[in-house]
Amino acid sequence: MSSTPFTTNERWNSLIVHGRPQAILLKAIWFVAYTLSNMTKQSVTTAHQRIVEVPLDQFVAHTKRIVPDTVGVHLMLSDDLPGQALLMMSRRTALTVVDLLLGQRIGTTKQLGSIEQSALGELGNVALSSFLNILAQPSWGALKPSPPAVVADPTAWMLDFAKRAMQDQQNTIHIIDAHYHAPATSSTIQLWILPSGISAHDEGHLTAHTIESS
Amino acid sequence: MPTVMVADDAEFIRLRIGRMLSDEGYVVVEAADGQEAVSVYHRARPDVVLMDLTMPNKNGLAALAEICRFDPHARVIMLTALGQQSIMTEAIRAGARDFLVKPCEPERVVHAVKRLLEMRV
Repeated sequence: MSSTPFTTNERWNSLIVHGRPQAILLKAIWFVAYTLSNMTKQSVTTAHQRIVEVPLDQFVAHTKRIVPDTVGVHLMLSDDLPGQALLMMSRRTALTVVDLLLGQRIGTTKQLGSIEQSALGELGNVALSSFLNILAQPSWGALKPSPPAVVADPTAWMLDFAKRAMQDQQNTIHIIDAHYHAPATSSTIQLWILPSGISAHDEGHLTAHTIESS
Repeated sequence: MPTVMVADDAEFIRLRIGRMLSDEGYVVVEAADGQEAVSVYHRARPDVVLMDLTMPNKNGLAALAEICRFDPHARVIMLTALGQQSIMTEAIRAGARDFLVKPCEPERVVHAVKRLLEMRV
């Protein structure tokens, strides 16, 4: 893969200023909870959200926080607001979510076959699209995600992402990290958005800016 | 009964909406990407099309434009999670007759199909 020098993106830099999310970005994060509630027909709330700035050499250690047996849905953001998105959940939650999306009794789905993966992909597509719908401004043009891909091993995907960031001469990786919780089924879904082109805030140091829960 | 084409790369959506429309008595044909949507339209000439926007090979807007060039009377409903003004404007300009933003209730999809079939075009 060819190397592309790091370039800043003015749009991301207007949404995250000095490591802090602006109001419209918070609204977009919270709106995902509303979308997940609509799709699964159960109450989903934003349990936790933060923006983390991770030096590239510490990103691998950061990915080790992802527990084994996690299922991910990967989408890319279009060039107008470049980056990557990963929706992650435990396998148990994935099976529960599939049952809810297919209108089945919880416990029916035992395997993640073709139709089940398609349902999870659609969940990722609609969740990220609703996030982008809030951020889209008339002068920006359309913000679109790529078609979704279900990732069996999100950690491997992240290592590949870090390798590409290194090739692109990035020093730090920003992570918009949001956790969504559905109390009725004790399910948690985690959304990572990895924007491309944010200026480093505190280069060389791990900084985590935790912002208040809704 | 009228024929409805469901064009969406998500198998889950084709299954869910296809089943719902079949239950309503419609004949359902499917397409898994934009290129296939154009081909199926030529072959099956559906009465209504439900078209996703983000699809591989050819996106929904490009497929919509091609279908409307071939058949200016085509009844196409965009069914997408992208509810952005610029996308809606582009879709309407390209010939879409309606625009539904996901997630939406299945009844709304059936209602939109019925409404479009009743319209004179």
